[in-house]
Amino acid sequence: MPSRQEQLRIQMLELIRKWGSGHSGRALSSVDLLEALYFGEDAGRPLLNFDVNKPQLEERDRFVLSKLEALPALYTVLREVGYHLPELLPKLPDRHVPGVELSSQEPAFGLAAAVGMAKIMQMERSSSFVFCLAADYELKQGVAWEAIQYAAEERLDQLCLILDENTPQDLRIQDRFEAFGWRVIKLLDAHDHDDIAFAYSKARVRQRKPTCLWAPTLKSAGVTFAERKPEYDDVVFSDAEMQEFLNTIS
Amino acid sequence: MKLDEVLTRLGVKHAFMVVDFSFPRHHFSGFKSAYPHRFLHVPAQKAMAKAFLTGLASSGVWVFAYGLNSSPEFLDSTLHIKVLRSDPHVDGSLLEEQLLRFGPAEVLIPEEDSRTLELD
Repeated sequence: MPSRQEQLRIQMLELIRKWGSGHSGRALSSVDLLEALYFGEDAGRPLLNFDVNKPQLEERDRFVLSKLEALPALYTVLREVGYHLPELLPKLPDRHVPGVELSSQEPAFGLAAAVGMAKIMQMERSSSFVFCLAADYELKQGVAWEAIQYAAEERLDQLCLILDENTPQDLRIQDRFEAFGWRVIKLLDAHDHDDIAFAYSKARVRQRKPTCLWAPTLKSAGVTFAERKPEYDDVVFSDAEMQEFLNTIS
Repeated sequence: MKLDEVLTRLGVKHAFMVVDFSFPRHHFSGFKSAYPHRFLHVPAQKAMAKAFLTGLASSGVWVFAYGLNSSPEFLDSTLHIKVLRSDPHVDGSLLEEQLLRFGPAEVLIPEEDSRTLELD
């Protein structure tokens, strides 16, 4: 019997195949980060406060997807967790889809919008949290650093940026974020449910500064024949490749 | 008509937020002193402003933005965001109605308002 993480991978790859386009390898790197956020618990309490029957619940935590290629992963997790998603799903984040908090088309847009959400929570003295998944390449956008600086200046400690670093570069993430006044939590294994869930629970401890959860992930993680092979980053799996993946699971 | 006075008066009836993107100093000192928790001064570029406003408004808050050179296009038509920009050809008689109309839009204000707005 496939684990939940494997099941999510199968469903996500099937969704990309149905669409006929997508970034399989890049989306696979984020599946476990989303799975742990939506299914993880801390002392019996869910890490993310949400209600699938009340998607607009005021006290809910927000999850903002800035990394656009991970949208199939988000849809798959939302469906698995119980959201009633429409049959035809938009290929870009759209707030009209239950569970999707923000409509977005541009890199780093979600990150800056998440800062806006965290600011309004701070002003309204809400106890909710904003989690935002961003990709490493989004840090090349000026708007990302404008938002990062503002979040630190305003001490938005209800904001947790999940940074999916699936392309190891010399970004000096820890140094740069700490220099701006952020707290950085580095995941030891960014594909291990318990490790990720523990990091989320630490991120929820407010320390008057925003948190960057640094996740050094692997593209195509969980699909052994595709891992560390850039040719799988932006492809749609063929029937044979899908079958090979299913064989490795079974 | 002074925009600061209009917004301060309107703020009694409607709980909107004013975000001033002017650099380096902000305007709306009257509104800020009347409603300190509903005013933000965020000197930022247009791309940051667009995303930040979207994030603020996604919680259902009405947001009026000032200090942008051009009006960004907002993807989400359900957000109540008004971008205030000065124009020499408008008289401002419909300002209140335009501000309260639902959805994102650019609202033109008389050019004199930009000059009479006091800097803080």
